[in-house]
Amino acid sequence: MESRLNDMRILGMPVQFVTVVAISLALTIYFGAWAADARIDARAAQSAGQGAQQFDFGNSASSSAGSRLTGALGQDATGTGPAYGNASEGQAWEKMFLFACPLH
Amino acid sequence: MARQSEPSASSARSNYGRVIYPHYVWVIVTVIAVMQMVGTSIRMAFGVFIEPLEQTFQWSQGSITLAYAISSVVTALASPFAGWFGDRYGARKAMVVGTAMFLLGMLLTGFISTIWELYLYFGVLLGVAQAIFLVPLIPAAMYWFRRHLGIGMGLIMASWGLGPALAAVVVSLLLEGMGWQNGFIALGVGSAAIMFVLIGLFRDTPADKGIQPYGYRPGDVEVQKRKPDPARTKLFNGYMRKTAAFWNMSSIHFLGCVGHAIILVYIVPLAVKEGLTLVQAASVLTVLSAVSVLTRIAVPIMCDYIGTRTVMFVFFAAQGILVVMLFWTHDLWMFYLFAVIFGIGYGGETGGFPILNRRYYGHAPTGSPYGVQMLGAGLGMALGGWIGGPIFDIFGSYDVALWISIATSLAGALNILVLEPTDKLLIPDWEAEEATQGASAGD
Repeated sequence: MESRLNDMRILGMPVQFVTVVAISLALTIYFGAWAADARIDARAAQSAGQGAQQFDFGNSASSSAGSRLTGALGQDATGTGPAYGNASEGQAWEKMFLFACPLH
Repeated sequence: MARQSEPSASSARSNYGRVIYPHYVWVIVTVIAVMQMVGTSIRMAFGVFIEPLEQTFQWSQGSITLAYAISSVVTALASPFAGWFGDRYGARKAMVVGTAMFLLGMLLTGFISTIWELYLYFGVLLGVAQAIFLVPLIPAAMYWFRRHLGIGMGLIMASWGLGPALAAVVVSLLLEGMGWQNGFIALGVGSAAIMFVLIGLFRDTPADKGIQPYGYRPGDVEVQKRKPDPARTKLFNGYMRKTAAFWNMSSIHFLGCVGHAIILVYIVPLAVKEGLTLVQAASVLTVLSAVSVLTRIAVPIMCDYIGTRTVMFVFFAAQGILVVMLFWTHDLWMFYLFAVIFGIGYGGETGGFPILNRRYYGHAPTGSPYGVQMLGAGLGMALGGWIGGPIFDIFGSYDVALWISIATSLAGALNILVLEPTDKLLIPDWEAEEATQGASAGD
């Protein structure tokens, strides 16, 4: 079975390698676009919420360790919580994922 | 090709059958282990620099840690080039270039005033230097072993586990005493001085020292004793790219690294979410790294005696299956138990690759394939480290990230099962073809 699988090629590369690359790329784009979508929605909701309750600062229900870590990769400008910002427009990486994903 | 000197041949006879005996190879192994620990320590201790940089320049944490992400990606992308450079010019010259880039990167980082300088000097310059420290030295170590490669690789791999444990403490003490700017400069100059001394002791091949490789027995076929030969490397790389293993080892390393990067990056926030303090959560990560040192030493040796694919399959599968435990881990003692058990699987994930390269490609120049494997590993670490954040933003928990960790490790294990058998070289006749082509080319 090993040799048969190793002989199967796509563009000169073994089928296992191409499968790993294709699935990884697809999942990365899918989850990245999903997260971008969620963040844009959250920003829009946050701006709407701030319009209604202007004095409710620093009490975001979605403040989380995960978001802080996401911030550690350059997405959080404050280092204190999710960097949803004030606008519903996407950041560069969000736009990139949404452009690449046909499902979002 | 120079004939072997008589004293070495008699020494080889007297060491026949011994697994451990005095040999210059232990100097080489020590040099490589210390070079990799010192050269990569600055990135491993990056967390220590965040607050001083934030206070000095008022940069956001996200902007500062982007330098770490750039450095990781640059290291991954530079790995194939670093491997080629080692094959082409020799590991010793690669070490000189790497040390010079390291020194320059550290000195320039000590004088930064804008964030772009941090990205350029720390992210790009030190990123390339790290690739040079990580990639060409492993194939260089392989030239020094005719047998018992697993012992040498085990000791070198252990330094990859010890580095993170020691680096943060040493670097933070230095910074506390000197401030971050002087700390960077002192660390750069001190580390480069150590590295240049080590380079003085290093030799690319046993022939450069006038001895035979470790484990050599009279009657063994003599392996390459020449200086790096670009035509030979190019010819071998052409053959190697046609083998499935060249591609598959890279994707397997990628899968394994996604699997453990998710745990290494998100175990602390996960533990904090379960109610542990930050210090307790960090100590879980320390235990995990410390335990991994043991299997980093053991796995290459086990590969030598039990079989590379079998050992790699077991440790990849263990790394994946053991993550299931995190779904019902809530207390401190359970996190420690997880750290010990997962540390065993995680530590064993990496050590098999150099042995696999030796089994598939023999004594050929394997810098390039190892560089491509490290490219896969680097991209896997970057993806695994990133993916948990978006997933948490979507689902509000790390469960899906944990399932991805399990799935990627198990996919890696399955891919190992379909790798070519390791009982024969994949390109056995390339040296003969090289001789033919070399002769026709007037070599």
